[in-house]
Amino acid sequence: MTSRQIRVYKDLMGENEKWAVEIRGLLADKSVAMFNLIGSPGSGKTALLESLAQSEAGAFRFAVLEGDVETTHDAERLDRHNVIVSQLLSGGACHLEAKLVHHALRDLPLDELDVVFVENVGNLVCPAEFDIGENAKVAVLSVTEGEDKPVKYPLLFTEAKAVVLTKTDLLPHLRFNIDECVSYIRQVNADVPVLKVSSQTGEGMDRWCGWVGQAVKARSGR
Amino acid sequence: MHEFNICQTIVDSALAHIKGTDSSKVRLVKITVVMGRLRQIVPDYLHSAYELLTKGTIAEGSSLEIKLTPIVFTCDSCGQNTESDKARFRCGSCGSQRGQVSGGRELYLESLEVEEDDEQTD
Repeated sequence: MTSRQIRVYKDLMGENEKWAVEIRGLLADKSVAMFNLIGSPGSGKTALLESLAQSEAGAFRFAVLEGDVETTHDAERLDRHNVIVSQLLSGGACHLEAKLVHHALRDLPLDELDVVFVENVGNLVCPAEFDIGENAKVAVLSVTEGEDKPVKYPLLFTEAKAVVLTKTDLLPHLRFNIDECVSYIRQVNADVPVLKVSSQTGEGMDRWCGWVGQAVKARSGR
Repeated sequence: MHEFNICQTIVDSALAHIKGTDSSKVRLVKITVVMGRLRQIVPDYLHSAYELLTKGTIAEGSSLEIKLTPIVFTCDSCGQNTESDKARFRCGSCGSQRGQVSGGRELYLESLEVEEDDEQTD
């Protein structure tokens, strides 16, 4: 019996990355930007998209790919605002992978769109691991979750191109220290824009819509 | 629980690599994976998934070694690389927080250890 070692060096995200590359090519070809919204269940991701649908500020056309483990509730919410939306059911999986996103993208009228939002499965851990070919990850954190989440789940906050702090209307009722939270964000991502918003009062939503508008312009070249 | 999907890729990649060899003479004894500390993958879950996914294959009973690599922060001001086990990005030399994460996201299959039956049959 002889024992030998075989050097391999194979990227374990290779299969997912192959589809992510396909997506980037498709989006570049159609001049469409894509943002990957990642946050806990109940952090307000769908509400952010509802605000965009109601906003007059952003003169861009968008569609949403809704990732959930079960139900079409979020897609129905957005459908009521006449948003083009497809529901992706992960069937128990904690994240979306590039292959599923690619299939869903091909069913969207990309020629008539400026931007696609992917609302990932509610989870701060797994979705951050999987590149889905997006132009930017957007981290969504509500003020009811605790200031230190950016350092507890550093991968997402390190990779995010924007952090949206939601439900700021609740601050008077909470012990949440918003400056401390921002300093935790800075520890893992020194320059990322932090947008403080409330979908109840509408406070800060203009800046969220403004960020999206600018990012769409920068990415899709429109 | 994305560990299960990742482990499936580990096992599939390893088996694909030694496909074509005579499975009655070759046994996979160890798979070594390199994983950056920024990855949020739980080694214990990988090990559990590994045991399950290798059952009935030539990797059954083999071990999975996970080598963890540090998070590396490259400073924009002085160019120094700072290694750390935690995601706290500050240059160890000049203290600046402006820089790039240049290591810690690794995730690859590094090597396989196989045992081959070298008995000659005449």
